[in-house]
Amino acid sequence: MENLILEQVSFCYNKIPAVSDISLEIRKGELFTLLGPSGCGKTTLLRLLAGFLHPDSGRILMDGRDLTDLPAEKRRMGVVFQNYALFPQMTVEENIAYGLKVRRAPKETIHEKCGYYLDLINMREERAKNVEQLSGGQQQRVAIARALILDPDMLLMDEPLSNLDAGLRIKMRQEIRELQEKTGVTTLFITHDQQEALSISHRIAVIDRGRIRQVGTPSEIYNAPADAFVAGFVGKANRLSSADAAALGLEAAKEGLIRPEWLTLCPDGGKGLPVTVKQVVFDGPCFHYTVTAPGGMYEVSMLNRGTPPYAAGQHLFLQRADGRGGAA
Amino acid sequence: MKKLICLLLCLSMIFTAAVFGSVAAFADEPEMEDTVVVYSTHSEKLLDAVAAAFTEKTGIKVESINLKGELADRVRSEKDNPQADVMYGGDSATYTILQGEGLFEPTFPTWRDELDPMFKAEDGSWYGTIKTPVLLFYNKDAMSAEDAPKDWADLVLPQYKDKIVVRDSLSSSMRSTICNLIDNITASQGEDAAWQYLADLDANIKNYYNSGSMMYSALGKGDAEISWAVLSDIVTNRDTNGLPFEIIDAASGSVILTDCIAAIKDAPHPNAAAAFVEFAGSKEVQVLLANEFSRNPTLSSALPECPDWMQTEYAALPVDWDNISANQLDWLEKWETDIINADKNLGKD
Amino acid sequence: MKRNRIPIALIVYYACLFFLLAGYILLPMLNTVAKAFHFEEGFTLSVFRDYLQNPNNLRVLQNTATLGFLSVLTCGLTGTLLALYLHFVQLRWKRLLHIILLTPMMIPGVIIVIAFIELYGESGILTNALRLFLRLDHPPFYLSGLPGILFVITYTQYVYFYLNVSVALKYVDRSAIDAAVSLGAGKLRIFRDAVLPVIRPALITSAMVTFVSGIGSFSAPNLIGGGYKVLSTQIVRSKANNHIDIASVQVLLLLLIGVSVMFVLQICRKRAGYVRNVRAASWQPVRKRTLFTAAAGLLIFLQVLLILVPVLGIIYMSFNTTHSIMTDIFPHELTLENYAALYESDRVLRPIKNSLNMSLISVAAGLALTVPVSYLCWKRKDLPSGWARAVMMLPWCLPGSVIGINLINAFNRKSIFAFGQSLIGGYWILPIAYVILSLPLLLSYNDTAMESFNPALDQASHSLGASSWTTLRRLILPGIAPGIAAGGILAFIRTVGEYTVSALLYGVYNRPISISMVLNIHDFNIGISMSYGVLVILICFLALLLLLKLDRKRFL
Repeated sequence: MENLILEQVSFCYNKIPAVSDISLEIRKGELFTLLGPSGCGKTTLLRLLAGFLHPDSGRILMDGRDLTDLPAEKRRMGVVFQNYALFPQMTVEENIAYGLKVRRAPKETIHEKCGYYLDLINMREERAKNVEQLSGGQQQRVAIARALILDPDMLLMDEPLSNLDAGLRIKMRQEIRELQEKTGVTTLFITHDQQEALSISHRIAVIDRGRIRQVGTPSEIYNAPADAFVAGFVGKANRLSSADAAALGLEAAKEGLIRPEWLTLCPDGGKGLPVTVKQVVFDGPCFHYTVTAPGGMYEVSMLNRGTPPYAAGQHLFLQRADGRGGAA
Repeated sequence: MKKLICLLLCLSMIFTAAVFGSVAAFADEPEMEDTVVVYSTHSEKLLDAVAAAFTEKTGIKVESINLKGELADRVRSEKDNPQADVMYGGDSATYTILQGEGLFEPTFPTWRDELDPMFKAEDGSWYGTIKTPVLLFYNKDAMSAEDAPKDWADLVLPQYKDKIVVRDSLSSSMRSTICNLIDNITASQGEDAAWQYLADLDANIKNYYNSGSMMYSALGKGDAEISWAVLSDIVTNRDTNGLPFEIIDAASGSVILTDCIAAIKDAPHPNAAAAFVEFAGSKEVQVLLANEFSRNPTLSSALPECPDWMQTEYAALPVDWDNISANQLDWLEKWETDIINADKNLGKD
Repeated sequence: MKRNRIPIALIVYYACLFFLLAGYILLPMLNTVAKAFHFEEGFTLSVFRDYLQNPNNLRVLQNTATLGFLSVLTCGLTGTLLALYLHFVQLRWKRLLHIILLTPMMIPGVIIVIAFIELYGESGILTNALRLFLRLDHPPFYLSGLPGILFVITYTQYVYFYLNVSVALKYVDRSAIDAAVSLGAGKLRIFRDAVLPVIRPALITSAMVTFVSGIGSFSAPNLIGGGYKVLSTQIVRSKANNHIDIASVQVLLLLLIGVSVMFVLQICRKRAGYVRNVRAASWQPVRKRTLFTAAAGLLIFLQVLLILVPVLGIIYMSFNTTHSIMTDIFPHELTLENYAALYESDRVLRPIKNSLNMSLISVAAGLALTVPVSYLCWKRKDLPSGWARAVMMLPWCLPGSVIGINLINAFNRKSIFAFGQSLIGGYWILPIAYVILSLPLLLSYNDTAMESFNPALDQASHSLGASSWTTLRRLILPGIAPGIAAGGILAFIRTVGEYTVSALLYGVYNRPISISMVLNIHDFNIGISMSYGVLVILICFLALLLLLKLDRKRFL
């Protein structure tokens, strides 16, 4: 399979645009994430790719084949739904085997492949269990296996982790990443959780209100956000006033955006902005300081090194953590 | 498991439907002349008896239903595609109307010449096979002979308020009686007097019954004292069920109806229809009906073999049957709409 | 997949479907309307004018509407109070009580009327017992006229209110009630603010069904109404007098009354909205014994008694001779002859076979019509399926008499919709009428079942390569089968004992049980009539048990 290309795809729900003029290329074998807030159109995009919706304009191409008018059942896309959509009253094995049964594959093939994927997701013992008796994480895995067993050209995952609790979420996303690397299947991953996106993706597209804001690798997205939206959505960003920005030696062209962890506070003067600590928030690994500066209020994140933090009301100096920046 | 039950349920439903559906389809198209279909006003017992005797004699199967007061209307509704072969029961005025609408096929049974002209249509469209007197009667345990009414005119007297029960407007004998009364009173006192009479009568009537047995039940238990009904029913309830009824030979005369029979035009089994008409009106059957169902015969040759009490002739209320025929439906509509319980509110007492 | 591409098979299907719907529902209705206006001779309002100018006819209209409204009132109060009590207070034997309270649903109306006459009528067993007990000359009251009709209607129809309100009460949020209590609200206020909004849609829906039942009620007014004339009985009489135009006018007026009230209620329901608290905490029934709970308990006890007595009465009378039933105040001549007659005579057994066959056929046909429409409405949401659905729901606001007259008017001539035949008097007209009667019921059950099916499963199936047809076959039908079967069983129960339409349309080959029962009463075979009744109750009871097993969520 070559790459999947979306060409200026648009779609409206009842005259309200959900997806506007989107063009994307997803490379073979990569785990590509669509990241954005609720209602931004990422699920719509997934459904357009899967074939559940037909675009108002634009084309979808895979291997040079035009998929746009093809019905869902002919597209060879595996879909993992947010609520897993496992077939009730069927066992784990029956769910996984469904696609093959529909294709009337011979019994031995079905048995063999099922066995393989059951091992892949570590659920061989539970093969005869009814899916309604499974936990969230187990259902998640069965849903993935059910999609993968058909050797799809692409795997589409619609916020698969959002229904799991926090600890399980982190564990499962690692599993998904490992699974993807093992099978090599091109994967489109939808999420609103930027941590998830950053930790498992090869590339990310940030979407807002139906339009793509930026496409890039996780570090590109995080370290070099294209605009204020991306900067604010993926991680936190301070917007420095032009005076403050200049004081710290930042180009005005970058809109004075700087991440809290790229700033630091020092007790002694010399260089940096004089600021006053307004509030301290402790979350375990870091201290987050809200400081009042001449040009506004900013946030600074510093690692917890086991030493006591600065206190509210303290007067300190704001500097860049990388040591650069102009003199006071 | 639930899936299996549901599947079995669906399958059995479809299977039964198919089997019985096909059986029914066959029933829908019986072979010619092996069956005759009879629509009637007579009770099932009577129909069964006549049918059994007919089948035994001719080998033709009889399918019949009792449509009661809606018989004429059903025959009329099926005009374009008659399902029945024979119309059996209902009074001569109704038959005259239907004859006029061209719904009958003339037949010529062997006994037709013996019949009095008032019991048959000239062109052979229909024949009267049962004389049905409608007589006044009262519960003699609840009311003495002196207190009982002597004539139709007495029924509107104040002392009989709430003592009279009758059948409702869907009963064919009731419809005939009302029309007879209207015709008779109009002839002597004018139409307004007739409607006034009916209104006064309605005021004295306690209840109109859709079901005959319920009416007799009420009379039997003493809830009302006076009524009128076909003679055979009175006799049955008096003699078989032991109810204390006394017949009133009304001074002006009683309503003498003729229950008729006719073959329907374009019937599915015309030959069987003619055979049934021949059979049902024959002396043999008239005697049977007289002895087992208390039905008066129309053939005088049958009379000697009938029960003694049947030998009494009841005087007929003088009426013009053609006039009744012409006006029947409009009279009944008016009676139904304006007279029955015009102001009464049943259930309050 | 092009969005608007319709497969050929679907076009053919829709064509056939609309052919049937037009021919059997729409056109017959329009035909009757035409007859009311004498269309053949040119449009005229004279029949209407004459009809409405007669004060007696206006009284009939008034009676009919009054009956409808009073039915809603009595059934609403009874059913709702029962539901509230059972939900909020009663704890022991809850399931048993629930099933008993559902029993009237499975007893055909005509059987109830007959039983009521025998028990509560002027010469009824219980009326007489009361009279003797109080040593009166005349019974203190008896069943007839408007009160009698209302009594019968309430007995059979309160079940809709009871059931719908019971289901809706499950969504009452207990925490909302707790909040109200903690803010100092009294019982009435709590009811008004926390409970009423949740059950209002159920109340309105039940009111719609009950109103149409009330104005279309036939067996009660016909057999015990006496002087209380309503449109349904007058229609039959006008027809018997061959005044088909007057009958058509009456049909039209009946329809207008029904439709206008339904319309108003529909608007109310849209305003009431839907309150679905998915996370509603389950309710802990009140255990306190107060005056209120004692009174309510008494009410339930009375209700259960009232429900059971006619059933027991019918069963008891079926074992008595007719003579005893007719003459003794308390029948006591026990016999098996009524049941023996059922075995001995094929003629006696035939109506039972007829009714069972026709009900099964009509349910099968009804399902075959409604399941695809439900599915297509859900899946494609296109115009034709929406229209089909609307037409199929139309009979919901058509009382039985209206449907009967429509069919008679349309099919007493040869018709292309019957493939060149006239259907009146034949076998098939009655199953067809039953199908029309059942369509709204089947459709609403199918819709509910369909809506509870997770659309994501449908998409999942497609994404795994299954076509719509394969998905339907493998996944959807098995999933919604219990809901569909429940609707089918209810439709079966309803048609087995149906009387109103049957009385207008039955013929030689398809005489149903209900007609036989009434005819036997007329022919003084009260005993046999009772044994028919017991048989029907038995059949329906078995069906009800099956229903409870299949659709637990809704009924238990």
